[in-house]
Amino acid sequence: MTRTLAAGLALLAVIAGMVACAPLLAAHNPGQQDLLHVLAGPSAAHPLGTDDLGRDIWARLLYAGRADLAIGFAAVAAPFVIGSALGLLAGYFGGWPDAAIMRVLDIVVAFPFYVLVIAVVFALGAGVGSIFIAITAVGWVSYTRIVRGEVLVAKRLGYVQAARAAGLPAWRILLRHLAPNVLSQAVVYAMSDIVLTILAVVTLGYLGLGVQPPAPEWGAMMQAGEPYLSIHPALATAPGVAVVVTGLALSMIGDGLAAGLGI
Amino acid sequence: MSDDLLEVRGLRVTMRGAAGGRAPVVHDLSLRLAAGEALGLVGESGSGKTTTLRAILRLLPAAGRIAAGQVLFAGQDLARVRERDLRAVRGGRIGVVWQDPLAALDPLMRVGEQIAEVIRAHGRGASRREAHQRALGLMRQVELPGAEAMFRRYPHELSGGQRQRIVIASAIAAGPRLLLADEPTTALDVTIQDQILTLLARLRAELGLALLLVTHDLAVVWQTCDRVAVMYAGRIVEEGPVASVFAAPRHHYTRGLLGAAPSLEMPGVLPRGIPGTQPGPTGAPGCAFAPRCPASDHKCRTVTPVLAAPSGDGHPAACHHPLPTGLGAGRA
Amino acid sequence: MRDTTARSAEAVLEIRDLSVTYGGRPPVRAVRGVSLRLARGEALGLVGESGCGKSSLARALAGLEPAEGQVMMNGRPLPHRRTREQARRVQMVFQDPYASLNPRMTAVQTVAEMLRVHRLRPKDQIAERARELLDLAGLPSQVADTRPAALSGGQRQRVAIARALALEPDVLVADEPTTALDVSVQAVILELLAHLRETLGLALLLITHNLAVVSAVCDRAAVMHSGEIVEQAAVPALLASPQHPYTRRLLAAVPRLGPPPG
Repeated sequence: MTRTLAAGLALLAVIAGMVACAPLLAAHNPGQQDLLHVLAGPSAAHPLGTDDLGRDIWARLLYAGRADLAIGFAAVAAPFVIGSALGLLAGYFGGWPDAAIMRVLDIVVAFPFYVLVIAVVFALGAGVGSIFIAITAVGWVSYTRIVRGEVLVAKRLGYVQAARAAGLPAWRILLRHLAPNVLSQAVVYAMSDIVLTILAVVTLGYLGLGVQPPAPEWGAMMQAGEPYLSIHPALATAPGVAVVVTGLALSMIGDGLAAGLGI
Repeated sequence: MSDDLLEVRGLRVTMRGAAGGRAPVVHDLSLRLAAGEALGLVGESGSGKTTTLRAILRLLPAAGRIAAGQVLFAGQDLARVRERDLRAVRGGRIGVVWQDPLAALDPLMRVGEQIAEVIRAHGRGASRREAHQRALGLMRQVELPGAEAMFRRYPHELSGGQRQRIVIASAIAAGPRLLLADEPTTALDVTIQDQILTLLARLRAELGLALLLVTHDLAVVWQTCDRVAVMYAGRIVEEGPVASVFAAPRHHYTRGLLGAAPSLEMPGVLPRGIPGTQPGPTGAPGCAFAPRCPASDHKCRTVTPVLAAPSGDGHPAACHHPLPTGLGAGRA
Repeated sequence: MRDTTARSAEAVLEIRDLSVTYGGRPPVRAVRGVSLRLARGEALGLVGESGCGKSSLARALAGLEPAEGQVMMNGRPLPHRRTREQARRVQMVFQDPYASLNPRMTAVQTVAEMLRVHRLRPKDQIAERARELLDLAGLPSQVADTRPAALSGGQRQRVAIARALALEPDVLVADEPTTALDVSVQAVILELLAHLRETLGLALLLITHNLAVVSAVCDRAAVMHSGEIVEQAAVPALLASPQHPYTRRLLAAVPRLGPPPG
């Protein structure tokens, strides 16, 4: 294991541990309003102060992390599985399945990522379910491309040829011989994709299309804190720092994995 | 000896392993090459033959290091000179021919320009026109047809044999006295190999070049070289004139290697393999070949044999129980 | 072209007018109307230089490449799309031992998979049979449970041979099986192929660019050039009196260990 990977994993473990133990680390309920102490500065009771409704920022930051991390990881799983499966099929069979999958892929990649995600969420209505559908609909293409390319190389190799010559069924060759050997690239990409997905969730939250208030979410928190940037900067910057640190951890894991796998 | 063009003394190369430690891959290796002479450095993969060639020009991979020894060439110790002074030697006074001509050529540069580039880099102010003209001359010298048209081609437009001729033309472009060749024909078909070996022999005779040829193929050495050094596990285990070594090998490994090569002369006769595999880099004492050797005993496993000439006539071998001289156990 | 084959010998594999064409513009005819016969227990060497079509022919025989013409196995046609039972009749050993094994499967798993998919042994005997086959191919039993990364090139090629043998094929097609190996290891693998052919009555089609390898192992040789068989003869005859100019050129180019002829 490389040092980068170890450091990234450690950092992510700390972040995940903190958001998982949010009830223990925060003295307040993230939704609990205290209208007598709005926009308060840091104090013993509120380590990062309170927001415009008097809610504890520290508590909201931790609970928001739960939402962002959970959605980020979960929303990468579907594109990973669907995209990799399509990449395996397209690469292995070639011919019309390949042509069909690649045409759809070309259409999806013709649009910028955010434009398409926002359009889908807009059409389906704001909320967590829409985020999942939008990110899956747009995100699978990268996995298909990566896996298809790897399959095109691997299927010429002796072990796949030998399996074909032995009359092994296609599903067996795909699952037993190709998938384990071509998915490592996709796994590395998934790490950086989680960063991208969390950023997308945060962006959608900032635009009011994501997790709906009053549930805490980093993007929505940044947006809500923006008017008070000059008088109470922690309101917008604390969730920003959280996003950056989480992104850093995941990037380090991705780089470390890539180095370890010799990619 | 004063007429030695190249002398390697006590060369020791170490590689950093995956675990972090440094392991020796070439041990205490010495060889000499007279002007105009051709020496074949023969061994199987992992024997250290290519590492030795790379160490001579200090072109080792990042994990490799010359830990000891001298590489004496034209009054300089190449193992010690400054990197700047090495540049005049690499591709200048020593030409190099690599195994894979496609990898040795720049894919985005016309092949003729690549030869001209070497001429200009080592030619002390040759103009573009002069370099161009001399490149064309070199291309004719390596028997490339239609040099004018060929000059403007890119490497991928050439056949494997033509590419290797371009590499050879670049290698001799700066008028070297020594040519290092690392498996120059291994990637080529046998008919093309034959042409390239013939070309190398002709250029050697015409230009008075010395040749250090690294190969796994004994027959290529037989066809091309005056002397041969056999490497096993980072050491030269036998060395001498080609005729003598092939007719009467003294090291059991050399004999095994000669017996392992299939022959056209004896159809239906299976070559005999050498059981076991070559060990990886190790600093352990004893003969590295002992575990595979039919004649090994306790001494072989504990005391490292040195490359020593026999008391009578015959060539040196690093073996405690060398095969008798004169009794032909080889093929020739 | 001449053919000194004894016609009486029982042909296990017979190909008639086989052609392999690759799409593209213009299409490339890699194999052009090749006909060959392989008798039971016979070793036929297919010699040629890179790009002559010998590997395409091998792949077509193994059902990996669609081809025109006929492939007959024991007198019955063997189509390109094969049933599982038909597929196991022709098995292949590939050139690159570093790519021919699934990096994530141990030697035993690699061989056992073939036995399991083809139901060649009852479930409880599969592992035992796999070890037996690896032993037959000369793989040391200590490394039977290791993955390819820990095996030497020669050991990998032994696993690939055991995998092919697992299906009890009639014909083993070996495409440059020793080209990537060291000379001392090559000899051991050639010995193994010759031994298997003798003890199992396996017909061997050995594809190589190396005439010396053919000379050591094969009874007959076919010389391939530009997609066609230009000469076919018993090995001693082919070496002693090559008829086709290309065969002569090929023979003259082989570097020899010994004084140059003449």
